[in-house]
Amino acid sequence: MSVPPSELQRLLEQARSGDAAARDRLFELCRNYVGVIARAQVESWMRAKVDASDLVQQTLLEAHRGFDNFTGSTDAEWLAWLKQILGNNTRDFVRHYRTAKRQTGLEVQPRASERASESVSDPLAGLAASSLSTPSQLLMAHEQELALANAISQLSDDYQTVLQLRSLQRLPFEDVAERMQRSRQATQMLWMRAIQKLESLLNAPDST
Amino acid sequence: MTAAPFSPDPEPESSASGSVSPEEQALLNWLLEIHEQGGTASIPEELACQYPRLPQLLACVQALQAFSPVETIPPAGMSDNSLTGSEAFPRSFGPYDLLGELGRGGMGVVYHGQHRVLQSRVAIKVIRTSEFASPEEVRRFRQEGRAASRLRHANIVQVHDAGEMDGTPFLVMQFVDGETLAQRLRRGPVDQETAVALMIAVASAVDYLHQESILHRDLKPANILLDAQSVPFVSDFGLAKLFDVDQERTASGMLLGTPAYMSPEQAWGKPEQVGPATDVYSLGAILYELLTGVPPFQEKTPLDQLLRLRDAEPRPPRALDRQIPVELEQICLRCLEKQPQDRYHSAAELAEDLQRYRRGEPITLRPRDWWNALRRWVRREAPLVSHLAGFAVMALIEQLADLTSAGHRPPYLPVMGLLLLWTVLSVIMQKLLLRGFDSVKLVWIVTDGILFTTAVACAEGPVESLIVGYSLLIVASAMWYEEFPVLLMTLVSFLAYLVLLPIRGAPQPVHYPLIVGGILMVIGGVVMALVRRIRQLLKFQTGG
Repeated sequence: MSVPPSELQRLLEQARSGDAAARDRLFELCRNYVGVIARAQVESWMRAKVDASDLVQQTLLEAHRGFDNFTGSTDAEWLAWLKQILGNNTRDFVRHYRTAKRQTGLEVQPRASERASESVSDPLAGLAASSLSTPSQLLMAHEQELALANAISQLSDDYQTVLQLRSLQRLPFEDVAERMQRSRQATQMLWMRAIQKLESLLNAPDST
Repeated sequence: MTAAPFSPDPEPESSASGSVSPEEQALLNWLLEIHEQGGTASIPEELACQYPRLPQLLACVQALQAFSPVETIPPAGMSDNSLTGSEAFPRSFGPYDLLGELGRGGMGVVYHGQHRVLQSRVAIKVIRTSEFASPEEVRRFRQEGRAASRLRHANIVQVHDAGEMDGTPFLVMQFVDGETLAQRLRRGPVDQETAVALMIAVASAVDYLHQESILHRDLKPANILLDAQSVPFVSDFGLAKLFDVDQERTASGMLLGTPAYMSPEQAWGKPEQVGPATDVYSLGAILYELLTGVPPFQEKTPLDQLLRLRDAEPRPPRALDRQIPVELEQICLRCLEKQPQDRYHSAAELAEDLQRYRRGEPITLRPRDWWNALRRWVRREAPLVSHLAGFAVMALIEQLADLTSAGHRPPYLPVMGLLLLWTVLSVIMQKLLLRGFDSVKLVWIVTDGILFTTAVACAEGPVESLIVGYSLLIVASAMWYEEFPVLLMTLVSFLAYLVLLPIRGAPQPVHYPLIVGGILMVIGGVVMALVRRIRQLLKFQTGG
């Protein structure tokens, strides 16, 4: 495991007691985690390849700025908090992207009152909240999630893409093959090799 | 992260199915199996001999599944019929077979389809990614169907059916085998006779829409389909608005449509003014493009387009092409009037006038009242008009000053001559600007600075009070709504003042010229800041 079980918790405590270096290290540790989830969420909502780097940046920035507002103490609460900020940003991102696409950049922004009513009826609102934690996720150690995200981020682009599309965004192999412009057979082989590589990274004696 | 060619990796590359070993295939099958089953599976012994790390791989797949932020695997019906365009054709869609994709619009994808029993060709429009379409979008889509379904006109795309498949709303429409007018225009210009015939048909179709209490609101070449015989069909009622129902959309004042063909009242958010004349404007814009090959306002950015749409008149079609008949130009410009009440009152009137032109009869010329003509000239040639106004004032004052003295004062003739030269140059530059030479405005600015300085140099007596004219020049340069002209004018004024000082400077405290120069620079800076602020505000308002 790239992250010792206690490190996340330890960094969190230090950061909350005002240690700036620990806080920076904490964010560094979670960057890949936010990145992998952001890409999976936004691409799966948009059903297209999307550059999520702005979204990740924005989320980390907001979390950093609002760090004092984080009131939890456990690593689980910390990750849930990050995901909540990410979920909100993703929703705005998707909505903005959709409007921008639809109106070829020529739509007056909805007024505040309309926005408020929209958020009630918008199916995306519920979607963001519901995807925060699935029951199976609760079974997974939080350090392991971070390690997994870090390992995924170390893979080659093709491996990352195939795992993103098939395993995280859960698209059928036909769609993955279409998106990656390969045959279905080749896509499945690519996926298998990506899993093998991921496993070797995860279980390597010491990977950074 | 793109689907780039295979990246180097320790594992041997074998994307071709032929080179996959039986063991690898077995491993793949097992992984696929546990993956589809949600990560629970036994570990087969024979495979475990080949791959000792099976338990770890299993854990890895399970971890990935747990990590996935996507709630569930999409049900089979959704992923196979989600209509995201990633599936192969032909495929079935209710009673239809989808044969291919015809196009994508703002909200929907249009497929070419065939009814399996009737064998008839249809166009099937589905809302794109319905699970992410907002209720507003679904509502607008349904409204398009409702609006279009009760229409029967030879030049309007017929809606046959509507419904929902797996939660995806769809419309079944008449299939027009051809291209859009936009595609046609990209291939080259249309001759005048065809253009007039097309516009008569489209205008009658739009008039029919209006009689059915429907505003199209997004008429543009891309929404007009042409069949093999070049018969036009108006389509895409995505923005169509029923006169009677649908009040809330007008209340929001949302900006919808394509700027190049959008009427001023749509562009500037005056929903209460949007009516049949709005579509007449768009028809005029299409006619303009058919005649000249370019839309009325062709600016680089939507923002500039909006500014021009309000402040400027389109260049008369005959300025672009002398071959265009005067009557067609008049018809076209009448549609493009800024005020809805100045346009044709209905699309039928436009169609009738085009008919009359085609038959060689006189068109219904609007009484050419001089007030409107003057207003249009002021808008179209605003820079020239402002210059002329300034010259007139200067000439008048000069003339009055001359009355008091016997014979002409020494500066009289030079200044009057200069004003004449300035007028001639201004007229020339205005004409060049209208022909589309955009950089002429920079030449104009430099000319203004030089000629004004020359005039001041010719003036009699102490000239310090005339320096205030430079401030006027700087402020006036803001009327281009761009920062660079202001910057240029400021620099020209500053330099001209420096030149003027040794020629006409009177004795004064040594730091006064510095103050005057500084003031000019500050005025320039302030005006530039204002221009930038105005552009930012507009940009924010247009969301672009």
